[in-house]
Amino acid sequence: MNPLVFVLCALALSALGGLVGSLVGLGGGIVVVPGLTLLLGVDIKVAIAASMIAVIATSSGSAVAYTRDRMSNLRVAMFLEVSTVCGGICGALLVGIANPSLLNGFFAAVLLIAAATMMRRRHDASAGPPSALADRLELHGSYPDARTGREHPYRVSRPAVGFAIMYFAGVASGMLGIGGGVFKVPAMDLAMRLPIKVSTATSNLMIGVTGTAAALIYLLRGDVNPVVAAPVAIGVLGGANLGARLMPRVHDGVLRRLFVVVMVLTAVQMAAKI
Amino acid sequence: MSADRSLEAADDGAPSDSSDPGDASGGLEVVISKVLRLGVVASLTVMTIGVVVGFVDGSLSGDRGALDRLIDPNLAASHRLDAAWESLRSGGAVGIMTLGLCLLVATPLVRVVASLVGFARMGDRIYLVLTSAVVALLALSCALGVTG
Repeated sequence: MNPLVFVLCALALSALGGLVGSLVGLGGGIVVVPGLTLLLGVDIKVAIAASMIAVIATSSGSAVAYTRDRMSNLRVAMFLEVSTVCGGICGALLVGIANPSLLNGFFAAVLLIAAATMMRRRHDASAGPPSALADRLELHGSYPDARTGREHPYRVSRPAVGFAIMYFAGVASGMLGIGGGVFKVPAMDLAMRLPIKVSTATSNLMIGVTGTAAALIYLLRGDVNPVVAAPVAIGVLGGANLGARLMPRVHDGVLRRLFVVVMVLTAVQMAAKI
Repeated sequence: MSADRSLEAADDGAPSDSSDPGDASGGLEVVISKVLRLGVVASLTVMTIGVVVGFVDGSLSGDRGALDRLIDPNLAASHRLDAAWESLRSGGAVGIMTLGLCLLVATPLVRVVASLVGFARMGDRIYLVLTSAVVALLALSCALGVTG
């Protein structure tokens, strides 16, 4: 493989990562890291640094459309970012203390349980209990559905529970060095009862901020190889932009199933590290 | 949209104050979308120029051996920002691509600062405090040198 073929392959692979990532609310690392290491022979450390860049590219690339179309909930994002960034710092500080095998096993189990719960919820559109805190924080909103052309109002439940879960999602991303969207979406879906599209679009907006702190450090340390990261970022931006345009037309059930598949794949990847 | 919002507000029994929070927030969303678009377009343009320059000046061409040298994991020193800056000054592909990556990484930070300004102008004290907390935590995280 020569550099030209490498760049073209990295572009194509990352476009797929960005497309999937923007639809399900994650950074696309689940596609980018195995693709770069297994198919293109990139060292795992170089691939992980490029994947942190991919998280930011997915977030910004899709959030252009998601915030403009009010698919993502800006207030929910700001509220939850406080606890998830806190968790991220604690997780990174705890990394040296905890046993990595135990951690990977624990988070893989959590993901599988959350995946099963999300799959069961696919016919359950019921709202959660009303919340005075959600009213006070004006978290409720509505989003447009391009398939029906109607505006869907929704109400946010249990913001305090979501806030607490989001802290642990942050701990997981800090400890495992991942964007953490795979934990953020279930917190919004299961606890706060946000519509699945709003959960993934809001997660997309949030992972840009959680990823930035990590990416800055990688950049300063010289871990980011631009020959790998620049084609990855270009590909991901293209894929994420396409995903964000497709999202309003995708059926909720399809999105939910796609997300559950990604959760199970992530759990398998984590279990493989035990 | 504003009709829906006011209906909802009536359902809540919430006081309908003079400044409609729904509309103001909608305005902020448009501003943030524009900020993000600017960052994305700028970084995309610069990174693409960097890749094209790499192919034109020969730094990204060659055979399998050349690729192995380009993606060698022990090259971290040559990817530090000071080395990239030197490359950028001489119009090198690595420098231009790194500049594009820096613009990309800066975009979410600019988004948070834009939200901060937006909530301040709306006089939304709760979200001003929440957004300030996020900015402070990000600064702390960078100062600690931890990944989060």
